[in-house]
Amino acid sequence: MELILIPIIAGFTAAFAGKWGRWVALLGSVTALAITFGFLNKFQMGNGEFQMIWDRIWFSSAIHFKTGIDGITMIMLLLTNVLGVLILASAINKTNRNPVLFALIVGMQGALNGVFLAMDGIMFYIFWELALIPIYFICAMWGEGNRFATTLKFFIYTFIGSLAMLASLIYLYNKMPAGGTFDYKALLAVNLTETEAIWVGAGILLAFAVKIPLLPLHSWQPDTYTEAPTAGSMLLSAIMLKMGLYGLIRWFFPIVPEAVLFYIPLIIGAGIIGVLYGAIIAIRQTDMKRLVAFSSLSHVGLIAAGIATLTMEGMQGAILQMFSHGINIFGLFFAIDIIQRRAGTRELGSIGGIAKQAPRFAALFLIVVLGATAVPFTNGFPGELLLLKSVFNYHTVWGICAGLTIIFCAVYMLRMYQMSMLGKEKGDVYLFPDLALRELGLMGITVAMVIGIGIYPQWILDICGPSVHKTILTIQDTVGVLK
Amino acid sequence: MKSLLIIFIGAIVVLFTGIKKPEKKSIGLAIAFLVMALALIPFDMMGKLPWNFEIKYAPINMVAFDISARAFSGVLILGTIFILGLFSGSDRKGSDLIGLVMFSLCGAILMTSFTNLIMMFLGIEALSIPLYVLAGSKKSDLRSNEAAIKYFLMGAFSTAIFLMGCAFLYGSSKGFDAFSLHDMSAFVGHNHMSPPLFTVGISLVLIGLAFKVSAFPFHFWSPDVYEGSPNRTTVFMAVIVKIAAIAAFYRFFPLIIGEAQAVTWGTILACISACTILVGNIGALRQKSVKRLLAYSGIAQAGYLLMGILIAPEKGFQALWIYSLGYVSANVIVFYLFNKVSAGGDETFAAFRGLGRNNKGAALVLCLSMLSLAGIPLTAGFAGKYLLFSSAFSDYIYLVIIALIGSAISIGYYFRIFKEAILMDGEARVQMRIVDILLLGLAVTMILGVGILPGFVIQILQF
Repeated sequence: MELILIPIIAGFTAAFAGKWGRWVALLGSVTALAITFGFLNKFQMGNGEFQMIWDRIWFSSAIHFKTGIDGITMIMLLLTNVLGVLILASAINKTNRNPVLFALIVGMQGALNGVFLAMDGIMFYIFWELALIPIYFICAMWGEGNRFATTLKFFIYTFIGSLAMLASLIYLYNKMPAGGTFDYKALLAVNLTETEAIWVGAGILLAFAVKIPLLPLHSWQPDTYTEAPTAGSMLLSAIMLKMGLYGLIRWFFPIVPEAVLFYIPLIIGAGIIGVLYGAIIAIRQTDMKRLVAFSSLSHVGLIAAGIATLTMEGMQGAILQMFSHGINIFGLFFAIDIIQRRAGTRELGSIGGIAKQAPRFAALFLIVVLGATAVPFTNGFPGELLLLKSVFNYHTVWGICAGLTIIFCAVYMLRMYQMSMLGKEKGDVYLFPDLALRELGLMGITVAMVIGIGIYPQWILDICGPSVHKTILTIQDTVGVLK
Repeated sequence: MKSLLIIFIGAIVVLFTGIKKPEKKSIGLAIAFLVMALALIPFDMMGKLPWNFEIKYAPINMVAFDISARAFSGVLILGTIFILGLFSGSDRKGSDLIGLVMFSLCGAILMTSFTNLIMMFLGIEALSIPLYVLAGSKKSDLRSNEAAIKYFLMGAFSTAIFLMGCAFLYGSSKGFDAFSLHDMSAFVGHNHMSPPLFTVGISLVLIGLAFKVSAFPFHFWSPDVYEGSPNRTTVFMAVIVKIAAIAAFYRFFPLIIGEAQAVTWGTILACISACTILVGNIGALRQKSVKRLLAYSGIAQAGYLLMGILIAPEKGFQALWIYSLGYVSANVIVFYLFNKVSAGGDETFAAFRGLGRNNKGAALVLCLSMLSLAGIPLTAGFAGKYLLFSSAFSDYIYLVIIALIGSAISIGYYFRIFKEAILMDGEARVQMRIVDILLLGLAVTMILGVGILPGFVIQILQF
């Protein structure tokens, strides 16, 4: 409750606070992070049920304002609030003084917390939509290039997806006997025939597949990521797309277990094709932001495939990888932003040799790149390993295809690093100052997390393990025939 | 009933005390009367009829101020207060136009409370005749004259059709009152008959009403008339006329058609509603003038409102009421800001340019009302749409799917307005008086209040 309200109130205050706006926003964001740590402290490990439930009647007796935290939610809250603070801090620099930007970022943090905390179908839908509004304005107001058309396309794509989800939720509600509610447990308890489940599932999946994005619904993504301002790209790729993946785990599979056998091959197929497609296209990119956008498409495809295997390894690996991917992508976008502001461009062909000028930056950037490439002892490795194992167990051929991702990823990431940082000095990099204190701090935190999670990933698996186990059991109860 | 009398007396008083004064000095008095009428609504229970359409109306009562009548009159009076307060009058001498607005409101209130076709007809006429004059009130403007003629011809035409329908109904059931018509409908429905007089009568009455709500295929007049009329009249048509006609529509169904034939006429209405939603939303996409765009958006909204009539009366009433609160507030805000920024004569989207930079508050309010019209969560528009869609879902699933597609299309044009207002640079500037700020604040409170806590607002209806 307070996790949702405090950032949103901070957002409204910040918008009208003039030059103090950014500090108000930062304060709200940090408070939310502190509350999250408070929840983590109270959180009972080893308990797969929802804890700390807060439940009030909202619209009518059918729609409640109900929040609860289980292991999966806990990880997502940590991700949202840690990255929320980092993104906000990275956006505070001398060139940007408009308080509305910070207000929108912190408001978005509140809405995202709402998405992850919701235990009521309509409440989930409301926050899902609400998260879209700030990002629309961030991209449309501070974006570059053809930003109006791109952001409108993005908005309409996601809006159609979420309307389909709303229709599915209302259908489920109408299936209940009189006095039904949109409560999570009540929605889970509805029994559907397989055909119904496929249609209801299609509606819900459409919303998530657009957000993730799964092929072939990805066409909004590269343009939006490239043309959004850095803070917008970070929010979109580090947190927002996790909404879709989280939705698959929490809402899609448990609600329509009857249709699981139909959808598993579809999602795994779309995911793995996305892995290859994204990776191959990323290799050819020269715009660094676009490259990262396609790499994100590739990583996310693997996560979706891992979730769809419905095994412990797959789901836990997915959650771990969602967390790591968020941190890595933040680091990458932040580094690209630093390069762009100093060298004036982010085209790979026109810069080079930055490492000579800025050795500290080069070292930290290298660790983030290695994290994204899933080198052992960085955060990308354990998650990717679990995901690949689960896909491999599902089907050897898919596993081999997915395994290529590590090779491709090394190719495009190292190529990006090599062309920008190493080699002869090229472009406006002669006066490339090394990191300032604020940047050093942010990069330092990122790198510390990259290595920290790489060395000891078990704590994330411990938090989410029991809840994942319970989710899989719920699905298997209905299906009964799953591996 | 008391509020109706107060508004009527108020209109006469305003008309005569304002003969020699400039128009804007009479507005305060008019608003005072309207506020008094609004305050009396909770006490206004002629005949003490509870919320229940099953009760047989005594044939001597030609109007009944039951809960739905009171709730909708409340919305209408509130809307008129917004309109009179926000669209300040000119320096011209004489308060005839304000008097006409109030007379028209009396007609609107009759339309929400009739139990007899004669009263409904009186309501429609009392609503429309002042509007013909108001549409042409910019006497020197050619387009205003054109709008007045068009509106008059369309209005006269639709009234004639409506009256013809009444005559047929009288011929088939020997009465104008809901009591005998309801019995006739039940008789017809239970015996699976289709007597031509009765069927044709009902169709003609529905056509007459469809003209007033601008539902497909009788929507074509509204863009032209909206575009030509002076802003205050346009917003009155968009808000008051539409809600009053929907309230009449809503009353007509359970009161006269009744359970027995609900399915037959419901199916026809569902088709009309679906077409209206599509035509309105698609038509709006290609408009260049803001007023034409709002006219098409109004057509689309009429389509959503018609869905409320298909639902079981009590649920439909709640949904319609919530929806109309959001609709009134959002439209009033948009028209007000448009009126201010288009003072230079530019009536295209470009008029809004630069609002975000020059007036942050006004731009925020504009966004909020656009989000509400588009039906984004936590605004009144979403609460209304949610109630409508979820109630209609079990019986009219295809209609709901079409309505959802319509909502998705509507993003395309509502967002164009904010794009211009917030992202483009320009000279748009709004200077607000304190009264304007108060009224806009009230409208925003309604959008957010209804949007965030609709459950609480619905409980108000059950007092």
